[in-house]
Amino acid sequence: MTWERVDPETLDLENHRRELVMVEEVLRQTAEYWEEVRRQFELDDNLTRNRYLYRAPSGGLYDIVFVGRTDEPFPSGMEFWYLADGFDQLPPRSTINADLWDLVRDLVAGVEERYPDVASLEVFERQMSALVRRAGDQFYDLLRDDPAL
Amino acid sequence: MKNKGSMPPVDLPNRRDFIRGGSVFGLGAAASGLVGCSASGQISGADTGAGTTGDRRLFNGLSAETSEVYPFEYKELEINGRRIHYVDEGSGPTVMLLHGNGNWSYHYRGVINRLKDRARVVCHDHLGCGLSDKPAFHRQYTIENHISTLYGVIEALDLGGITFYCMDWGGPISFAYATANPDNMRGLVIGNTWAWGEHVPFLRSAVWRSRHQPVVRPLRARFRRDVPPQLNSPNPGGDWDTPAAHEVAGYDRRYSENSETKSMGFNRSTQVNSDHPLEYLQRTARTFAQIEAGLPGLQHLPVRVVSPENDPAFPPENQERWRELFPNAPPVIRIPDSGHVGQASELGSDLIVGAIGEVLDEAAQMASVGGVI
Repeated sequence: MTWERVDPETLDLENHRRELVMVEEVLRQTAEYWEEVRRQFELDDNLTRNRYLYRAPSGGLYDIVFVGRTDEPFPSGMEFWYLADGFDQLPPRSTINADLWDLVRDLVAGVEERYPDVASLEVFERQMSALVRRAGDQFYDLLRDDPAL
Repeated sequence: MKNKGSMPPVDLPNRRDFIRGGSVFGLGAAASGLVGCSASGQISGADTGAGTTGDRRLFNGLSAETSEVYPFEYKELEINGRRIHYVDEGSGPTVMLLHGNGNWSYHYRGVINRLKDRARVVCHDHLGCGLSDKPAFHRQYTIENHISTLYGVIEALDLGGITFYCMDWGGPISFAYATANPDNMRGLVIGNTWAWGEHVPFLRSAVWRSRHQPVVRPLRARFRRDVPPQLNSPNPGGDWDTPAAHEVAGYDRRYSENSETKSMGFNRSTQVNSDHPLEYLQRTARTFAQIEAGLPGLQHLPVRVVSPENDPAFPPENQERWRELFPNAPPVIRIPDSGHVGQASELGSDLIVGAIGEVLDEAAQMASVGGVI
């Protein structure tokens, strides 16, 4: 993970406010991802773990909150909060998206060897967008190489 | 009547199962300001004037251009504590149109306009779509809850002798009702859809699964906000870049501003099996198995299969499976040069209405010679 883990005790956060930028409600949709999140963020069933903040490559400071439910193993979901200084505006959407992509890259790479980096996911997305628009041979070519089938 | 007696002795889903499995009251009704619910499930909201009907289109933000091509009276029901919008136009035998993920009743405007002189056409917006309530919680959007909503619409409007047209998620939702209530069915017009747990290849592919994985999916939703609403253009290779103003506005009403929640609810339910780590998705796997087991019990009905010919999600071989399940159905009617939502095009609407007309005629003929329809 290229995000830097930061001990909140080392920061002056008195004047900061929090903006929710992304929510994953159902982390256990896929067991592999749930396990990878627990591994990468060093989570276990002890909810009193030390709390950290995370510095993204852009310099943005984020709090990643892990949510528990009584009917599912911990964590059931994740919330991504941007910590803004005072009343400052958030950076452009593209900057936050890039930060989050960077995090997803590592999660995905930890689960699916097929997509080792952001570029491969972006290629994937472009392929899919094209397929939604123009079905046909391209789509079947992609499926033909699919290890899941 | 054909093959009516061949239905296997399976434990079919029934209404009580779906109702018990689904209701989560509170947020949606409170947010929409609804006050009160009659025994029939109809609302008596203070802000709706006439109760279940009234022109709420302005309230719901439809543009003048969209209202012009979607000129249907605004109607709603309270089902499971949520406001469900529906279209109810025309008179005659009942035809219900079931839309899919990323759609709402707007996509059937052409079918409704063409069919309402011949049939009573009912089309509701699934929870989370169109003008229906959009609760924020992902786990609310299970197929069981969507099925329960369909039961609620049918029971509140006292619909009988139903002919379904369904596409995408409208398929398993409507087939859950049809397989459990074959005696209340008149016919089936099957679009690009499925109703079996062993999903079509597209839904099992790494392509599909990766797009809807934890964290990946909500992040993609952030990017998709930049995707224009004409994503659902019926002719992906044709008028994609030049949608009319009403189309832009209409397609954009499919979800609310936090569309990722609703879309996830549908899409992630395709990745289920009986040993899924989440209990509520294990239930979905059982629901699909029950629906599939009940399909042979519908072989006595008049059936047509109508499908866009270039739908990547449901390619031709998927439609042939429907033909195998309903061997008495005529060859698949293909909507040429059409993608996933080809039913929204002029030609698509014509072909679907034609197929529905054939089913209604066949059902009437069967009834006249002593069938059970």
